[in-house]
Amino acid sequence: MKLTVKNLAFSYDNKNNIFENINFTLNKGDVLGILGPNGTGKSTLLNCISSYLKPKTGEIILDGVNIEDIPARELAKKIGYVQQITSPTYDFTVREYVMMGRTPYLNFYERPGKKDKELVDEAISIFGIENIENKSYRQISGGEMQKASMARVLVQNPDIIILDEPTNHLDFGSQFKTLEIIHNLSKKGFIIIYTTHNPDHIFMLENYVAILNKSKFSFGSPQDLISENSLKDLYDINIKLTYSKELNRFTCGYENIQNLK
Amino acid sequence: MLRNKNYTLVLLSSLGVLILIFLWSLSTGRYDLNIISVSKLLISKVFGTNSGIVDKSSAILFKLRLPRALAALFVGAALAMSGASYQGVFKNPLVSPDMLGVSSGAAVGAGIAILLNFNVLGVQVASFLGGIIAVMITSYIPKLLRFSSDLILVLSGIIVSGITTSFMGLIKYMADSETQLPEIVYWQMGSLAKVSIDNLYFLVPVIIIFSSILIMLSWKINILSLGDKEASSLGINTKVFKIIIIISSTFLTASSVCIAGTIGWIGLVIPHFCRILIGPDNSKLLPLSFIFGGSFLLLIDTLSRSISSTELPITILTGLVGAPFYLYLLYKQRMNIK
Repeated sequence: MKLTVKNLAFSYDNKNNIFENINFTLNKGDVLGILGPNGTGKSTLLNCISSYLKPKTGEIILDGVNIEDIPARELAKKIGYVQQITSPTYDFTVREYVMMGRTPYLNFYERPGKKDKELVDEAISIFGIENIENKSYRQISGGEMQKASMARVLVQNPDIIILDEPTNHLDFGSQFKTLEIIHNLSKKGFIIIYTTHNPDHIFMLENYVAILNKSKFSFGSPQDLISENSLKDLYDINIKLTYSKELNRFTCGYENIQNLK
Repeated sequence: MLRNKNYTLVLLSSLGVLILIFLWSLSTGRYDLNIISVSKLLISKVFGTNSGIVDKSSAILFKLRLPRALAALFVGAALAMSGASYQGVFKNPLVSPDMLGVSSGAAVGAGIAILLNFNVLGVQVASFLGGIIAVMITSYIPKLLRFSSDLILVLSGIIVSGITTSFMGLIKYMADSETQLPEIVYWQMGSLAKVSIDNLYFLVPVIIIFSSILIMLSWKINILSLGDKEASSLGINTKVFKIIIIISSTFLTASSVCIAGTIGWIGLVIPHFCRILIGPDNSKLLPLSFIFGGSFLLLIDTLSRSISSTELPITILTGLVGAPFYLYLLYKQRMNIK
């Protein structure tokens, strides 16, 4: 599986581009973390890659085929999209919610069968959420919701998993557990694209980073792209990057409040 | 919540209750006909044997009560099922055929058709067109305002209902006060009194066809209830499915409206009640709403023709029973409603 994004640009009003000149290629098992301040178009970019929004120019190519030429149901077997946690209108159980991941494999009027149920059982046990499978999805914790969403995308069995701010609204521990899940999924061969507000997450997961800032896009390795200057440019605060020998990676240190700016 | 218990058990017991209400309805009325005679007559009709019961009883049962009971059953079932489907597609538990303006739009269509002396089929088609135009306007207003929310959708329904009420006033003003006006007014309040066996030949197939379509697509309604973005990411062509589901639901509502007038509350309350019983999965919710909607209207219609010496319009009773019941459901569910 190979995902290529070529010269992608998007505009809501056909005048001002939200972003432009986006180019990158990802292969099996690659992880791409996208950094950028609020409102910079990270989610819009994910919506374009998942084909929910039509780009102004450029193309997204999956194994040599433009995604515009792939029927929606087939595309859903290739790209899974975990959106920011929202509460569904109705009180579905976690199990019912996870089962919805099987939708692309069901015909026009078909309902989930025995095989779908087995796949759901498997995903539920992979994420260890058997204890909440009959609970209402709306009444579980943020971390549990994230696991349920991941289980849903796993039964969807795509090649590429897109995650919009998967660590949002999660407590400190759950954030890192989510990163661990992402790491494990990439080891299984999934291509993962996610957005985050925390540069440390990018260092932890290594692989690729993309920075989206004021409609400019850069793509590369975390070591090349993330510097104190680029973070200052992104978030308008002073951040100290320190190399930790123990952790064998860079970590972000934050200045005292008086010296933030 | 019963949702984790056996769905089949809930379905079968509700079917049992429906059969009991059905028999009770057939045996209730001014002419004395007990449940045993009713059962004997029905069995002999089905197997073509002689029941040994006087012809008058047979005529009253098969010419008057049975068509009416079947009409009540199918109209109630259609309204509840269309309500459940609208609530799923619009991902809003507050919508119902009446709140989206479908019922009143269908009423305007039918009113115009009565004014123009159309036949039954003409009234049916006109009421469908009225319903579909109303639901299109209601769902277009949020897009026009570029502000889509559950609340705006409900408010749009109120706007459309307001306009249709004016149209209805105009139709009544223009109607012949001797012949057409009483017909329009009485019919607008909801009644099954004038249902004949001929109406059923039209009503029943339409309801069975469109209910079957909705039941076939019930799993997709679950997905649509997550919102367009999530449904698309799961490979659903949201536009196509929404159109099929809205048209089917509107057909159900419109055919009910043209047979029985505008009957409120069923499309809103019954799906809510069934959701409490078995959860929001539409592949279970739709069949159960069908049975409960049918039972409820059958019960109400039987009461409306038996509790007083003159027959009461159905809407009076559905409102009196439905509104407080809805209040109770809201109280029970207050933690779950955002």
